[in-house]
Amino acid sequence: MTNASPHQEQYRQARYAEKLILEYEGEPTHTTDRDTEYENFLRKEMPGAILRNEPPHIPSLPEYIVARHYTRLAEMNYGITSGFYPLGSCTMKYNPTVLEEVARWRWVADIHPLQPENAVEGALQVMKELGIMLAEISGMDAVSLQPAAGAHGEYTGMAIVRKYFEDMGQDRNEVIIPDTAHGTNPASAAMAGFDVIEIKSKKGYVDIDALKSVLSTRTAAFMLTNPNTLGLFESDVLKIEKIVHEAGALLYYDGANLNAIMGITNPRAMGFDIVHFNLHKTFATPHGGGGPGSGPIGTIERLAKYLPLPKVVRTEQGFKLEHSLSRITNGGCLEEKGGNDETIGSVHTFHGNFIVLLKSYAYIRLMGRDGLKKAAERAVLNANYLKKKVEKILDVPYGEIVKHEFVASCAKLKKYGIRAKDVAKRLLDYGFHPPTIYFPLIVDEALMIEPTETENKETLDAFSDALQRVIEESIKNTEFVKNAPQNTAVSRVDEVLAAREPILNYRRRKNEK
Amino acid sequence: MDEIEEMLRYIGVKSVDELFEDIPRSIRRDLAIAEGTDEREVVRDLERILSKNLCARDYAFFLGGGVYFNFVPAIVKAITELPQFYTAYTPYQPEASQGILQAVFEYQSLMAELLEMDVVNASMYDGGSAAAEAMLMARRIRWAGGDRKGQDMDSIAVAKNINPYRRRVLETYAGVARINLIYVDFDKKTGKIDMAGLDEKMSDDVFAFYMENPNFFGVVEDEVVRVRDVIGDRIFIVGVNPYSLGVIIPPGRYDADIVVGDAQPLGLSMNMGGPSLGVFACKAKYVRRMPGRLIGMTADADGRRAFCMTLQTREQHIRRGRATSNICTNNTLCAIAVAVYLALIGGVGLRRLGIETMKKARKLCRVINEFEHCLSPIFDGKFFNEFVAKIDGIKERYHDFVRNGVFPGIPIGDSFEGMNPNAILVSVGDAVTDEDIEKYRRALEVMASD
Repeated sequence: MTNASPHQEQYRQARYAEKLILEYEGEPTHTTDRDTEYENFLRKEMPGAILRNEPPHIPSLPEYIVARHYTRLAEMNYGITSGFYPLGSCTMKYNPTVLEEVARWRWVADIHPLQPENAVEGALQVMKELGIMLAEISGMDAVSLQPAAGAHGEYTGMAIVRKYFEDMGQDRNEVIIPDTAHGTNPASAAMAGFDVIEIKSKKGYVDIDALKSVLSTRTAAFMLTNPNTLGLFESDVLKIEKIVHEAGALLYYDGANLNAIMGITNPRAMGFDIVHFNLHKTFATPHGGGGPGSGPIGTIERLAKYLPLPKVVRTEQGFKLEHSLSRITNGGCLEEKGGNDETIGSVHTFHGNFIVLLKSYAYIRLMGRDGLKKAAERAVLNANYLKKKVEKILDVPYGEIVKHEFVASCAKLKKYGIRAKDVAKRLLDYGFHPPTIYFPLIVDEALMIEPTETENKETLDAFSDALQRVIEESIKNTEFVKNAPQNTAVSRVDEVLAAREPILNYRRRKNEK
Repeated sequence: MDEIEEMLRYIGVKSVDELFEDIPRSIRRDLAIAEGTDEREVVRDLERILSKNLCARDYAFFLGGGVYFNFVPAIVKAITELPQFYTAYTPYQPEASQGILQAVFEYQSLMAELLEMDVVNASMYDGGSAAAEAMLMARRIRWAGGDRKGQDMDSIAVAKNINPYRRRVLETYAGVARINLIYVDFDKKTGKIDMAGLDEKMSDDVFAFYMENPNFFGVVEDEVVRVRDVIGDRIFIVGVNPYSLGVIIPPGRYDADIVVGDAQPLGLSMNMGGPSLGVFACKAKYVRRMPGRLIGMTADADGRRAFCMTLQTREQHIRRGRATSNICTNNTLCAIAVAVYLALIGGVGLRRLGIETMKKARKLCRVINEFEHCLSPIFDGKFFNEFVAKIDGIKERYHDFVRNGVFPGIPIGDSFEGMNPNAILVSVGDAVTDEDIEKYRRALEVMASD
């Protein structure tokens, strides 16, 4: 298809002028005798000072309206089942449908976190076994499943670092982070009260001299993801481990990029002390359009006592929950903590996102040791293949061999007035979800591309062809690329306007009129 | 030549192993987990494991305390099973993600309507972490206010009758943030916050007050309308059970600055406690100090209505170490489920369900009180749809209840200072039937006859 008219791409996302749910007319409500009785009862039983005199202003809609409304919205959304989703650092692999099915079972959906242990034995078994599997995959000694997302795991890890040094009587208040780190790393460290020190990378890798120059008796931890966000494996990780530990600090592993190394190496072998996992990335539980996720953390033996509680333990009487509070019963929680309580406490009200835990358990069981290793290998093969193709089109400034992802730069298009964002938008017209853009920050006009293992050569070729065409269009048909996308539910969204006069809900909007 | 060979050749390497040569041999590790298996086998095995769980639908089920046995309409599940929703990532590309964006904007709108608060975010993990983040946000607001800086205001007053599981999370975050928790006692007779006690705790170092309404005992805090007068300009954080807001006035009407809660009762299964949905709302003037994603309404290049994530300069991927929170992944899909639920039942439906469960709770409360060895309720404050009863011997006899088909509630005797050791929190979700209440009666009869 040479010289294709820009409007001839195959992809068309549905486009509805779909009303807001609050703009639909609700069904008229008929007050029945029962309602009158109900209201009388309520006025007697709810103290006048806090009685809501009228129902909330939310219309009640017939099921068919609701079904159509959300089906239309779903048609205006791109997911893994829509097509290729090479969003860097997000590991958008295909989510096996069976994971959804098991999560729907009544023994899963209809169980309460405060049922006695012997009434949720199956759930406890799944949690216990998942913890063991994650410990094996990471090489860690103990795992907590509580954190509900990757960043939540990071926060938990940083809380452990803090408690550890407090107990050691050491005043260490700095956390070092490479400039390629995910944004959550500095945010989590800061949230746990640490001062964040960022070091510049050298040729895309941790600059060991820069690291040495900031390491001190004030350093609590160094946070690293390996392979890093450029997709490069930090081969000097053992050198890093040595100098960090010699400085008396801990080494934290951001597990967002774990997909590249499963069955090849593990964070423990690299010398890390604390690890978080992103089950919604590496272990195929879907991301839910932004969650729920799950971010368990693992530690070495020495730090295990600080992990959040409760945790599942296996006893001769079956699976039990070990709580942080000595006198806890089914459902209770004490006023004062027990004497030897070293845990940081709890970061989730109950056991974390159990459903997500279950899905990742099922995924790991499906894959097994060979499957996980094959996934890592294929993910790396796909990334290197696609990198080789993309290199012919765009500059890929870092790395010969990469792991699960790579970062291309659109800087050469700037002279045509085209930015990474424009390229991303135009890719949408070809039916591809674009890569992560403008990250990591050290690459100008970055496109961060992670193909994952659940894609074949045909898809990778098609993506690379589309990218090629977008780059050609960027030079020859600049205005068109700037005006992309055209085939999605809406055209270019004005994000500046959204931030200038924030309209954050419909209620607010009504009030303004 | 298969495609792997072809790809390797294209890359210019002989084997996949070559692609891993940058990983030193000394750190190579094999995996010692089991072999993989097929879908049929995994399903069979999981069925065997998970069917050991006792499932609420097979019992008369009265556990609550933040997670409730409420009926979830089929359509709510069907919508969240649409793969375009559940398999998508965070909507970084708004043009291709209008479905999620609009659905979450609608959640923000519906929840704002329910709470009568200016701004609701896209969601937090759960009620506990939402409360903890509210505490951190409150301190940011006060410190930025300029009237007091640094270590002067490092205490938060917290009602003792809040959910103890959420409280544990609050304590954990407070410990990390070096925030001091000052507890405000409750009245042992009513179960409500001791307002005189609250007044006494309002020292200069207190930057905020956190309470829940209804409180953990199910008792409604009808004096909540007076709290503002007592705490002055300190940040007022309220944890609500959103399910109760069909019948209880929204926190926006008693001048709450930040509102949190867990929306599990609005269309989410119990799921062993997670995922649920952390609700987070605040006054408009505090929006820039708020944690979490916010979806805003805007327009596309052709003037069509469109949605996108907004005010992102608060967030970790832009602001990094100076972000208002580290939160990235939240519980978006649960927010969509709650929106579907609310759209379906509407304000009128929510009110009816609220009243219905209140009625059933009172019925059960009377049934329990008929027994010699019981007292129900033990607090005389008016309650919503859960209450605390005393059932002598409940801890020892708990498993007998279960054998008789009843999960009678959550024993809380050990959870609070001075609480009757046989106290039990009994919650009535809308999946509870009149027959379930009769089952409870029979279980008590069996207990009494022993």
